[in-house]
Amino acid sequence: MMAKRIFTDKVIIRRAVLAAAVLLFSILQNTPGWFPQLAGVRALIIIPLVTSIAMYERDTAGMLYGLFAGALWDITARGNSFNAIFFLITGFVCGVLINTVMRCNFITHLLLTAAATVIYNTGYWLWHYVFAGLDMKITMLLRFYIPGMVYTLLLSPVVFWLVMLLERKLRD
Amino acid sequence: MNRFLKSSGFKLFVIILSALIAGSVISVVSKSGSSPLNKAVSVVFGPASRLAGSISSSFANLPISFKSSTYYKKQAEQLKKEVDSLREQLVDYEELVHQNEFYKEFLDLKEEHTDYKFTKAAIIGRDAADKFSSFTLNKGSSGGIAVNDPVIYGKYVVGTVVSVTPTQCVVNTLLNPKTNVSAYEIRTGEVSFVTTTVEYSKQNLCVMPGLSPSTAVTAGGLVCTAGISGIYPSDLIIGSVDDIVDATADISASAIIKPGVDFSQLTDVFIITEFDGQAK
Repeated sequence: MMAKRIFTDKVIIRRAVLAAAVLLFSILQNTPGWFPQLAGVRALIIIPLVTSIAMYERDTAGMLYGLFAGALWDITARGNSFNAIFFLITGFVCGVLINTVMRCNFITHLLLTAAATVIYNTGYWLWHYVFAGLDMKITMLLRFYIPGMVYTLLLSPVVFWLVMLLERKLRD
Repeated sequence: MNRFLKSSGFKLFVIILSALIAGSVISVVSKSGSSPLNKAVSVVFGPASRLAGSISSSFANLPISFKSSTYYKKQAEQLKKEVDSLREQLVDYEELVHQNEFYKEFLDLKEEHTDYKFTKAAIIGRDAADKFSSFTLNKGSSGGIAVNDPVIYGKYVVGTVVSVTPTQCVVNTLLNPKTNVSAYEIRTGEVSFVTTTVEYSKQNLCVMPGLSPSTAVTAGGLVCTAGISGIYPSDLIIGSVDDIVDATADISASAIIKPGVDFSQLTDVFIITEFDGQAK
């Protein structure tokens, strides 16, 4: 009974800390002046955070963290829950892949983050530029969205390391 | 595979995904631009965004202080203190001048148009994936804000509200190619509309297409809202004419407009919630 109680408390604390991390990363990413831009390009640090958490917490918890992160992002974006849906799917798929065919390590994290980043940025670009019939589509992709993907991927090891550290500290 | 499809995790995933899609459909049908989940999350976590936004505004002057302290480190301690003190006073003074100008223009506008109802709002967030200077304000439907309400800074047009939750709203600025404002040039009276393209938006410019090939509009002319659509009241300043160029598709001319506001530097704006002739 006592052991079970301690385990429950640990899980609650871990999940609360991870939720706080999601909230902090959302604020960092979407508040003006809180995260450095490189030549006008901003990193989408929520993406590596959601994939990292989903890798450690697996499918069900991963999709709920994804939903939370996406819903927070939707506050500053106009898109009818686009981010909530995208990150719900991302969290679930990452969790399922780790459960079934992948190992939870840095290489798989990089693969999953790269896939999610490419899908998010390409989808955003297709929806907001190509389907909207705007000019300079290719320039915007090359000038902002591809550098944005690279910037996000460059930061993803740091995010993975932070989540790994939190998981190790809070699971022991 | 069957076991996966029957798992509780997958069922929960399908239920949440269906609920989110249903919420999105509701937001499209209700034309509020925000889903029920979005509204709920913004009410619960909006204060965190607002707090972050206000901290961000408060710390906007920090780089100046850091620069000055680094520079004056080499100077005598007494002189450094004096300079820092003067610098602080200067920052305070500039802030006051800036705020004074902001409120003075707003007061003029309020006195000229007694039918306008305003709400002051602060910028608390900018979507990291958006490149058209859209931003989030700390006022929502509980403060009387609705979709399509015009947003201004002094007498200058900033943009329109495109989605509203009870505590927050998202604004598309004039630098968003989806924004169209009916407009006229005040000297010649030529009427058209102001929009932008991605190319002009990148240079912080707008375009007023469809002018006659022999247009009398010249660089330096002032462009104001015409108030035709009922979204913007008439006679708000959009910006000044930067150049006149020939259209690429037809024989008309286009005026390149430099907006009167630097959207990247905005921290506070006013939302016009009511005016005579507003489209309902």
